[in-house]
Amino acid sequence: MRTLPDAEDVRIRDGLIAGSEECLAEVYDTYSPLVYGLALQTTRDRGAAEDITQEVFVDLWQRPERFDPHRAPLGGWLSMIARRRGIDWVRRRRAQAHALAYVVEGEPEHRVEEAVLVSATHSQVRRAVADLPATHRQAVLLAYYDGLTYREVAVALNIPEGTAKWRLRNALHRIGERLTAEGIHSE
Amino acid sequence: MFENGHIGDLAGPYAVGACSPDETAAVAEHVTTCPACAAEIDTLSRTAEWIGASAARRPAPALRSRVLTAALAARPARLTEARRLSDVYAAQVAELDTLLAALSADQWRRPSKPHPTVTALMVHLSGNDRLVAAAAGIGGPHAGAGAARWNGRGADPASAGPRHTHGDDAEPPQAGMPRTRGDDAEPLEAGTSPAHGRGGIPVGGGASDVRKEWRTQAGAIIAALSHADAGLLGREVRLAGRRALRRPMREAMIQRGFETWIHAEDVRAVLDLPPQRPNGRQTADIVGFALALLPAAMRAAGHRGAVHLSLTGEGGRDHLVGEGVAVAEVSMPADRFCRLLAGRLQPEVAGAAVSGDAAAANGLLTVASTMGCE
Repeated sequence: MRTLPDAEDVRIRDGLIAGSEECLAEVYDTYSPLVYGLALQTTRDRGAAEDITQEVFVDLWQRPERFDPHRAPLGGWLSMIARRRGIDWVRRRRAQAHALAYVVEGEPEHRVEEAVLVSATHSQVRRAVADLPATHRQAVLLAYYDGLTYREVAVALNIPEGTAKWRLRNALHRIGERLTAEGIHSE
Repeated sequence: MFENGHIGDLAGPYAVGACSPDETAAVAEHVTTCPACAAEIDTLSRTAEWIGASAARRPAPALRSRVLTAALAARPARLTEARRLSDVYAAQVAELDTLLAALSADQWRRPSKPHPTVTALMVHLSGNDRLVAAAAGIGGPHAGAGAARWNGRGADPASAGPRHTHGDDAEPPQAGMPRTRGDDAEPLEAGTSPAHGRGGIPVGGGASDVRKEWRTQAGAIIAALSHADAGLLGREVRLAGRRALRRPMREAMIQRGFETWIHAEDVRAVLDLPPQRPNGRQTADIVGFALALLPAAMRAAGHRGAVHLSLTGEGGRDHLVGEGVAVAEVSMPADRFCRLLAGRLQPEVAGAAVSGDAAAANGLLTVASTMGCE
């Protein structure tokens, strides 16, 4: 198990609470690729991803005390918020368009799009996801990027709820084990 | 909701945020008392974070200023970068000033390597500070007066005894400093140029005046920089040192704090006081400042291989100097690295642990030791 809180996260949070402009710039420089990347991945819309990135960092700056370094690392916490906002944006769009069906038609284009940030680690993670059995991969992508609950995943893939739960768990274990074997998921 | 009293397959949906709110709350509650489930959630959550990280994508550069501007409009900064940098510098200035006040007349005349006297050391520091002062628009009409006065006193160190009292000097307060070395303002270099050379700098001039001139200019720098806007912080300034580099004012301010600290160390040595490290934040600033300059300095010195530098202790960090795969590793305490940069430690006695390609590792240490302000 990793140990929380991370000392860097505590320092950044303290700096943000103190109103340090440098900490604001530092947190943006460190995490904007993560936040923007996730927002873009979920929304597939550059303008929306930029707006979400702005909202995430302005909110963090206005209320840094909401981030609890004892509960999650800063990167994980910001990812969660970016993803949630991206998903909300997509849902609002869908609601506006009255397009409610979660139809899975193969692999949507954005999911195989090469990200600009190509690090060896990121490539390994993407390969690990891509190499999952199709049934597992669809479940993970629907839950992670489209924000479906496992029940919605079950409906979308026309499988029992128990199977959807199991696939998500099993898929994450497979990815994790592979990354560990490749030496990038160590403690 | 659970299987056999454990969360079972719910761990998967939970890690990617795909449970219902009720289930999410129940899982969060359960893991507080079940180490086995907590460990699985931790593992799966990290995998989910990796998936998220693999989507990272650098946003358009213009987004940075848009976001920062929006943030600062929503909540103004209380601690600006300018304020923090000038606070660090101000603390070192106050410390050095206190030390100078404790020097006897005889101690002012003692050598402080590489300078022939403490007075010469302070003239040197003032000259380097002047690069920043001039760039900040401090100085102007009075800038040459101090030099003229020192010149008038000549090189006799005894001609004006040190006066450690404040405020009894009839000299008008001056923000400016002597333009001691011409327009290019090359730092006074006792080791490599005649210490009493160009402009006839009297290295043993009136210690009280030297101190006061330095302190006045330092105060003006602090006043000007503590409210600096982004334009001033980004303005290119000639750094002190042999290499005549031009870097943004924010880096020049870090260098001023760095040099002021190392000269406070020099004065502490004269006073037989124990050395003091800069605090962690200042150390981190100095390290960051130097690491940005190191790759070019390494290339200029003909070193090609990348070196992994591990700086330990407060303000330290791990950093790959150069590009590609590291051919060597150098590990040392961050504060000793700062002393090495300042030329106060020789590479061979810096206490660095070296592994891999010794020539590359020693090359880094040697280049680092020439990056100071002397």
